[in-house]
Amino acid sequence: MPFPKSFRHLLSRLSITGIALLTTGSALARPEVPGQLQAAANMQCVPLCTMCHLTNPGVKSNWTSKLLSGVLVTPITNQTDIKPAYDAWALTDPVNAAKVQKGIEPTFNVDVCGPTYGCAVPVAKEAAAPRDFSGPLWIVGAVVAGGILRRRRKPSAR
Amino acid sequence: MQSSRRGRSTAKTPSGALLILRIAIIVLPLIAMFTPKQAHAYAWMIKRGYPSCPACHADPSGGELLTGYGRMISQLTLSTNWSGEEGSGANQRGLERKLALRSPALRSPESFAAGPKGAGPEAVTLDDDAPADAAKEGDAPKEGDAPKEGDAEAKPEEAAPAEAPAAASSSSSDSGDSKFGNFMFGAFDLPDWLLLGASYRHLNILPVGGSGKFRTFPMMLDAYGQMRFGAFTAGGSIGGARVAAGSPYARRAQITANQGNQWNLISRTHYVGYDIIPEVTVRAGRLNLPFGVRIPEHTMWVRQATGTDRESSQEHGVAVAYVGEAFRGELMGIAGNYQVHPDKFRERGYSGYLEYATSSNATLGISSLVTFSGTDPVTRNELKSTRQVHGAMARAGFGEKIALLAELDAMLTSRRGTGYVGFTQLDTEFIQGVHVLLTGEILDQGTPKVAPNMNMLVTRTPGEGKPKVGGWLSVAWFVYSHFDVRFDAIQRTGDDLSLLAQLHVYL
Repeated sequence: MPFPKSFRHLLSRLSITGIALLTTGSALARPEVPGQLQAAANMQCVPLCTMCHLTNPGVKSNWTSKLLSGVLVTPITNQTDIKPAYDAWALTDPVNAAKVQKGIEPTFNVDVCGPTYGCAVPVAKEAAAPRDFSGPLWIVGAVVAGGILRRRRKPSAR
Repeated sequence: MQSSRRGRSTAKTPSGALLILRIAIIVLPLIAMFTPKQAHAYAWMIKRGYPSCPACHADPSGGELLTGYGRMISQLTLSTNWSGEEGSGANQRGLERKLALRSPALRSPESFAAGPKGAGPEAVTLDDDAPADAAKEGDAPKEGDAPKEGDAEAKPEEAAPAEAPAAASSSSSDSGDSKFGNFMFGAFDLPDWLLLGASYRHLNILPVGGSGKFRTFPMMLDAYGQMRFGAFTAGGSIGGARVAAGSPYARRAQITANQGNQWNLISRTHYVGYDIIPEVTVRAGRLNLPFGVRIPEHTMWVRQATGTDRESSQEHGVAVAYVGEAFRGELMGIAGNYQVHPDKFRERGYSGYLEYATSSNATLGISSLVTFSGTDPVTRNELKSTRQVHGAMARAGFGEKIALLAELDAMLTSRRGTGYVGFTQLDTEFIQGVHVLLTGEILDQGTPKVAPNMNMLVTRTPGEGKPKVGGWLSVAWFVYSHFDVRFDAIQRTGDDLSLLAQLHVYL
């Protein structure tokens, strides 16, 4: 039995839309680069994309940093090892290279260190970070909840 | 035997539960403060009338460790039937007989509550030569028959008295093949209180037409277990992983602290639990986030973009799971992932779902997740952020051969427009154990909003302000008990076509 004309139209439109969406090019930068940079610069953490881009995730059009412009662009574009290019740059600009190694973005001097993983990770104490009271609050909450539960149970015990 | 033990513990529930809740509330944050990170759930099992998870899995919402019952299901109805008997109907008959032998009180699996936490003894035997085989042919359900509500509870109980002696002989049987489905191919008889399992999953990825290279690596190398003492349980997983620096995978489950491409010890889950009543379980520890359809494809956008996959997105917290006749659900208070540092990267809040069985092989559900963190979950910029995901899901089986899964979620993230993610998966199984799956997915995480002081143009890209779509064509073959292989062809907006091949061995 032939399909109704409207159904065929709908199907063809959906197919065209699907093909168009599937074949649209990506503007995103390459996600493996931060890890490569961590290894190349011997960093403690994986840097955020904002080490080299204005946004996170980075896109191809918003490179910002001293590190990327003219330094890592070629190996990243050619998908070759970035370490030789990084090492060459670190020799010419040791001050900024030291910043990168500490996870600091050299143009705006912003901490762009991503999270570290595992138990007992040595993490430097955050100097100006506000104190996290969530742990003690949990305990206080538990004690209060326990007290309420106990008070509720007493009348029923009589 | 087990059910009587559970019955006694249930009688003591009120005071015991309060005590455990108090201890959990106090101990968990203390552990969290002083501690400086797939076998799988197959949601398409609904087509065989298994809408629920805890009968087959230790996790009340499904995934990973199998119960003794789950191992039987795996051998009899999940894997290809090499016995020569016709279709899964014969296997279903065998399954019902085994259920009757093992646990007369165990309900048939067409309701959510079927065999909740029905771990049962691990040492299950599948000896088809046992006298219990003398079942009448006429009683056997035909392939494709929908289970009848009334029959569900009656069948095992009717069969039990006559077949009980066979159960004893069966469980002490020394026949090698009969125990093949058990832990380590039946090499060990585990005690009733212990469940053990292990998974090795090897993945090969071949990008087609692009500059990507062929990769082959162990994707999963985990052992897991659970101990049960009355109503108390304790369990978890431990494994190894080696991923590239900066990889989003495995990192969040790390125990050891190597940040590069070295091997790390990982634990995806670890928990203690207590069954307040058979239908309600409280667990505390690192748990899978209860959200959406629990599918094994952890890279599917619907799991990855919502941060609810079972690869390494688990969080520490306390969860209450309910598995009733028509409803099941789980609500988890998220205390944060204490295997990620520093604290600003941790997310806290809740995650949960509620699912209603409209029939023995159809469910509808809703999920909700709200978390807060000190950094933006996408950009990682140090900005206080809220992440919300709310959605609906549905699962349906059409006969024994076709299942349909679907989920659609709205995503509301700080400094982003409203986004959405969804998937639909059609599972067909015309030969038992051989699944052909067709999946479509769509993702738009929302347009990023840039701070006014940043002089730049916001670009809407596929996945961020514009929809991007993906299509999966997959073939999964459960070759034999403990072994399965899977092939996927994945095409996504802007990506090369990827061909995946994986081998999975489950001990």
